[in-house]
Amino acid sequence: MAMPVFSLVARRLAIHRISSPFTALRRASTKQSGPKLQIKKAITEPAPPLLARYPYVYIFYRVFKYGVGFALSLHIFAEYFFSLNLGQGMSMSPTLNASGDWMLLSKRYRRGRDVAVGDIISFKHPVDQYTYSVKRVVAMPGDIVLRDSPDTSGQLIQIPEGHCYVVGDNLPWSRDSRMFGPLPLGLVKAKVIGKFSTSEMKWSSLRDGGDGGMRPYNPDNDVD
Amino acid sequence: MPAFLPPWRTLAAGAFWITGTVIGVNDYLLEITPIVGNSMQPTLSPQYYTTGARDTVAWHKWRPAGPDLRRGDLVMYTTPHRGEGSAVKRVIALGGDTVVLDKRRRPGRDEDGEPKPSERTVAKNWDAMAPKVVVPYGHVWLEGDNWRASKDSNHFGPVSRSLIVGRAMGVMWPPQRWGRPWEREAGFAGKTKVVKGREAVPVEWEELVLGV
Repeated sequence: MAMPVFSLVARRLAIHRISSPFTALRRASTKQSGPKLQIKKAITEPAPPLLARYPYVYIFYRVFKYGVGFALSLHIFAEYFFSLNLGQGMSMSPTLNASGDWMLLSKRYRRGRDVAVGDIISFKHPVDQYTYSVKRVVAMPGDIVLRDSPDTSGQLIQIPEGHCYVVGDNLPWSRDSRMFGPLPLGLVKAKVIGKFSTSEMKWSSLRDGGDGGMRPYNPDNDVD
Repeated sequence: MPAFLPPWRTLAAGAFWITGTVIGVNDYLLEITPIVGNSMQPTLSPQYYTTGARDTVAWHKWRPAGPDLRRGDLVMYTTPHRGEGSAVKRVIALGGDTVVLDKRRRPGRDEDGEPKPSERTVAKNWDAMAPKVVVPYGHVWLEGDNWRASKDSNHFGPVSRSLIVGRAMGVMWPPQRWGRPWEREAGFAGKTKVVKGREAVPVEWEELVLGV
């Protein structure tokens, strides 16, 4: 059954210069019946374009073209504008849940542009190049920070040029700058500007670091 | 719109395809850039400071710092001291290797050998690392071929593989320099000695890297 139908399609296409395979298929299924007398006459005409002669090639070409276009658009949007990622791991608890929180990332802050102390950033991990990590910035170049958790070594370091110091909110359960040292700003890919919690089913802004956000001391905001 | 121009839809589609393809290819597959500066003399752009002639190099950008990265490869990387900048250097050692530092490459001196006050901290850090450095896991040691003028790992220490954005495929232009001059010229390694080691995942990062 399949072979005669295919040959009918091919012959119909050879006769009429049909641009779309879908019209060819429709004609083949509805109109075509009985012996095909016009075929000899039709074949003397110049051949139609290649894509019209091979409907499956044509369909593949269209699907491929739209697929590549969609992939390119998606890449540009997700790499240079915004993306929505599912976070996993308890290093940023309680600001971000250990699982089930979607993060809205703004790529305007890539390469550390406009990143400030207190922001939550997403960066390519300096130890494993195929991993991305989310932590909070606690110091920018020139600042002096405690190298380890409070009440451990008490050693202070100064952040070198072009680096920042990132630490997770869940201090005992986070592997961060306390282990790998200052993070080059070139590894920063995005800033987390919002989250969608699937347990509470609501959006919340993290643009200023969230509710428990850490801000540098500002006497104007001092209530006491 | 003049009659000889295609309608705006065709123009918009053309602009989309050209821009999208250029960005997609640049981000994932291939980048072609001229080499500016003298830190890689005499391997790349050897006449840069006399005639201004530049070599144009093609960069492989699909997972450039994967397990097939070798000692002696040329890489383009985002500079650790400036997030917006990028530079070209040679991979001298991989993670686990021990680098015996070359005294000529001690930073903090200008081209006449006079100490530079602005780089006192860098020189102090180098003295703290000397005489040898073990490159940590996931990092590489990068150095320029021109030891007189090169800001490299001797300044900022081992560089993370995550910062590497491209690996050199070959010189594209000018045609008489076509190929891989960094492999032809055998004297690349300079005086820096490297003791090869095994790159083992540290215990504290096993869960991250191996997913165990």
